[in-house]
Amino acid sequence: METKSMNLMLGVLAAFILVSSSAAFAYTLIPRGDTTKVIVAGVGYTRNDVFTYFASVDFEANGVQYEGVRLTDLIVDAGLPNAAAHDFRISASDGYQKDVSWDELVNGYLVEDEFKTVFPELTRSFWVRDLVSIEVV
Amino acid sequence: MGKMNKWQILAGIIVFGSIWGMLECLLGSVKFTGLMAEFPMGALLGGFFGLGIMAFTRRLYGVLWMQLGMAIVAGLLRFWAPIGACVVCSALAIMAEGLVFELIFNRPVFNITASGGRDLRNPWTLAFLGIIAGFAIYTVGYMFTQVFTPIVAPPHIFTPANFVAVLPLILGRGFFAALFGGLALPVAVLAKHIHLNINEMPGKHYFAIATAVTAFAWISVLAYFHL
Repeated sequence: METKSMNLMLGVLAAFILVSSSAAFAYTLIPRGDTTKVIVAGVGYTRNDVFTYFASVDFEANGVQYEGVRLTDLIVDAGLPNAAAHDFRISASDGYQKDVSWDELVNGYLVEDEFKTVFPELTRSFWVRDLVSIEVV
Repeated sequence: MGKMNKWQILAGIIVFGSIWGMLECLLGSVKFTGLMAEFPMGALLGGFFGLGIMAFTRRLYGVLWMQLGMAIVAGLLRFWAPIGACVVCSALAIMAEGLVFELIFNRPVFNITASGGRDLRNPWTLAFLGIIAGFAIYTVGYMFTQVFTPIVAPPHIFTPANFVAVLPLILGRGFFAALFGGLALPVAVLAKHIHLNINEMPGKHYFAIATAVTAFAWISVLAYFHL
């Protein structure tokens, strides 16, 4: 292959990758939903509400002590009927999301630092930062 | 030392794989300390160090599939660093990165060894190729972790919707890996100050240095995470 044509081909592909990946990066910076509050089963709570009105408990995860609100307290307060029969989608402001069952949610907490979920019995991939919603799947 | 024999190539695989694995473990752990939380460390590790070390050794040894062997060694060392959501998945992801490198650079048209074409002495060609390779290596490795982590670790369920949702994040962070790759490949292939000609190195020196560097890499990781 001639140098010129190879350079052109590689250059076009490299430019396409840079443009499309930078667009994807910009897309992830656009907050999905209102970052000042969290929507739980259709009910909105401001970040301040969560830590003012719900009791915080101490727990340990990965050898670190945390203080946070039980996720199930939020679901129960939102008034979702038969909550234990549902699965839930936990979503972050950057679009990241994880699905969990009720049994997993029972061991989940919302902590003030980074407004993130912490699940001591699940991997860190379930620690969703900048939580914006917990919705029924 | 003359023509490389299989033991010398094997030693090369182990020593450079260990260096790569050590960087993955030690630099990879920085993110989990809370320092440089927003820095795209994964992109730096895959796009710059991973691609850079593989390209450098391809230039040095000129042996196909050697880099996959290095990735396996790096992945094995990664097992000893308990960081991240799933250690096994991270190790598999590094091995996948090595496979992607082989799939790209085993093509005769992208032969970056001394016997390769003149085209691949052009810095722009190498930069473009580095952007493509850096992006591919990083995003494939990242996708590997996103597929295998939910399967291998609790709750042992892979949810396609979660994977689709994370794709913009993977592609977006791939931007930084592409930039790092565009820098790493020309540096690894063209750096004139690296006059390491292992063919001229006496055999006993070669194996002694390889053993010492490998021991240093493994002891560093074991001491950092387990002492």
